[in-house]
Amino acid sequence: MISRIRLIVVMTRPAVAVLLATYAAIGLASTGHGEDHALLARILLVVFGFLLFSVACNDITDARIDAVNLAGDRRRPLVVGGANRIEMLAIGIVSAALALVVAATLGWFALAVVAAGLALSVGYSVRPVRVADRGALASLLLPACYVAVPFLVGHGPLHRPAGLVVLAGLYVGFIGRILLKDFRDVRGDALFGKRTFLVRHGRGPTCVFSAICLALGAVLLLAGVDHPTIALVGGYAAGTVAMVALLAALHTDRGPRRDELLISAVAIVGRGMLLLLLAHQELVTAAWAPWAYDGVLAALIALTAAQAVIMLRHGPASRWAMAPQRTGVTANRSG
Amino acid sequence: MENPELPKYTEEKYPRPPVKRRAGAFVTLSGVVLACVLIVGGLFVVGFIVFFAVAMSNFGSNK
Repeated sequence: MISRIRLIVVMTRPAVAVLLATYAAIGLASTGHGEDHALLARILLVVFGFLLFSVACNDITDARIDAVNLAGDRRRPLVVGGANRIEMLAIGIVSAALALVVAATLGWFALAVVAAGLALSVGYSVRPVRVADRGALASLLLPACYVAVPFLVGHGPLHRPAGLVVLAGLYVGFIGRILLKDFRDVRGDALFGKRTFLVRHGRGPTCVFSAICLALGAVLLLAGVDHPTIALVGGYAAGTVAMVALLAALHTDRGPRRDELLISAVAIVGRGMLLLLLAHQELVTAAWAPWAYDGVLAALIALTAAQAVIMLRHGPASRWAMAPQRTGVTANRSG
Repeated sequence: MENPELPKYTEEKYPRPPVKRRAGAFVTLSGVVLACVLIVGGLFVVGFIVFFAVAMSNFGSNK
């Protein structure tokens, strides 16, 4: 039982789950209902169900590639033998059904968004469509799933242009981050003919394009958010400068471990900027005093900076992992 | 078949440096305090997301 729960937690990719929950919370906060906890709980059920299904699809179809890129990585149950394809498939199907049922209670719009997201997830990973192998299109489609589904389920129909601008900012920023994921996977991707942006264009253009996307995303978010303040704009400016500096460092190849640290730091700064936006939305809605508002934003900026520095110096540490339970079982069996 | 010039992302070839827990613990503690302030102040959602954000800093947040 414990191992099944652990499997589900691992499959949600806790870091990704927090990211998607942040998108959903930003969408909900844009409507002024950011602290409606019952509504948010239902939205998160939908989002996590969608995420589990997407991860199950991706892990099953990418098992052979992950066995190369992430050999021995205990965050990949199929790679280390912590689960088999049938178990993952069952979890994925049940999660998708749960997401659809709960989305139906939120309204026709949420149901349509989730149904479209699930269909796109299948198309992303599963043959014969398998967009994951199609370079640029994959870099555009995956963010559409991972950003638009949680944001739109949280936000509801987009009645104001500002909502669309925020969604565009989140989307473009996610593209900038998803391109960097390919640095970790470059070996297996090249080996199995996965034509990612990095494989096709190389390190330099990938860093430049990622920096452009991240900067453009930040500008769009600031353009779309209500009542932007000096503290928010300052925090975004500092975050953007930090990310561009990290990408400039990544431009030079000095080994995969250094790449990992730099990319992790970029992810932390990006996540911090999203938290800044969410905090701004909720603090404005709750009408906190200006000194308290500035204090919270300053604390978030300092916290993000400290996390990024620690990541750069000491590297990542993950506690969520699958124990290798079935020795000798590898992805080759399931692939 | 396999290009030997492509980097191998394996623990054996590129072992992780030892994690300095003291610095990380201080930042995590600061984040938890901030999350508590937000939750007590009525901003549960931001507070909980800050809490989870400081509790994890692992690579791979894009996949």
